[in-house]
Amino acid sequence: MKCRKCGEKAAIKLYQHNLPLCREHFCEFIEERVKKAIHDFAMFEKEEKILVVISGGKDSLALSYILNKLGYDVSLLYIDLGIDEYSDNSRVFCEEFARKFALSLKIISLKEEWGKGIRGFCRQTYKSVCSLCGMVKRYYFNKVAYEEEFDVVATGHNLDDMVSALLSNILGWRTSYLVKQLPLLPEEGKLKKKAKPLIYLTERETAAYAFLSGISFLREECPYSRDASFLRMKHLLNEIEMSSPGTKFSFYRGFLENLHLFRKNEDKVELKDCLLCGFPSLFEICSFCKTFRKEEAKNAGKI
Amino acid sequence: MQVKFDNQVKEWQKRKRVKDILEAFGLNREEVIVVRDDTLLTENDWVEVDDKVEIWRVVSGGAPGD
Repeated sequence: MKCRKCGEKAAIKLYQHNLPLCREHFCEFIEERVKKAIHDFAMFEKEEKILVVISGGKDSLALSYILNKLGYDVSLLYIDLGIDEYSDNSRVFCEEFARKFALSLKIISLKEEWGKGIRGFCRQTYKSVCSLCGMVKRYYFNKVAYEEEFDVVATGHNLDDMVSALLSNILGWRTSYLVKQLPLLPEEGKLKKKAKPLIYLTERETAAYAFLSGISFLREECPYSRDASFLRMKHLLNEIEMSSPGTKFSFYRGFLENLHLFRKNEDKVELKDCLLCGFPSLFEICSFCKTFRKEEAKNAGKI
Repeated sequence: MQVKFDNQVKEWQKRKRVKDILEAFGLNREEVIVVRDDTLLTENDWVEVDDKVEIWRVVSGGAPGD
């Protein structure tokens, strides 16, 4: 198989574009797709300060690498959830990446801040690791972005992440979640805007890009994600993609084009400042403080 | 040839196309990349008898709010 652009041996075939490409032209193609996403959704400008939330995996490291290569002002944030060996390993990949590309990296460790890892809090709250993980990450990236005056938080969500969540939310008709599945969420009070520049790329493409660019990334999966319903959605969509290449992209594009259908039912919620941490919350005490500052919340008579 | 995927290793005594190797493991091409040394292999590439190849799973889970 030959590269469509130069005739050299192809490193990969992109089935949704029916496009075989060599290493050089594939990497160029991926970077163009990221530039297009940033442009199409007016995500950020060169002079803005970007906080990239990294996990040590292929997506967040590829995103950091590309944004840095494109000349954006990038800093990294890693949140160590204390999931034993898995967190130790992912932290090492993040530290090595930051060192190799001379990027600033801030690490927040649950164990160092709160004396125990995420599983300890699951036992205490009867919540699943996955629901606490999402909440903890959102709390810290919003907090760091606000306190350290970043303009935008960028995450490594890719097309597969978006369409699997989309399918899951459509199956459950959770319309209030649907309207939030956007490539860019605007700034709202203390919450900085959130961007997903990998929105046009599949997981296979980001993994291939990271590999071909010499980025070392963690291939081990979080031990708690093995049975995640999210993964089942991804497998189903990939089955369809295999027989009809381009389905995932057209599904997501169609969603964006028809967003107005879901926006009609959008609940307008008024956020207030959490009484304990001061960050935006639906309730007087935010979910993070209810979990991590339980005693204080109790003393305030709020739980 | 030797092909590694997760904890499985399969060996064949004849050259084989990547496409057929993925089929033997029951894998969807959208969910993996196939690596030989520092290169990626396409589905049409041949893996020779002396080659050592690794299949990397690329699908990851994670919390939706990440």
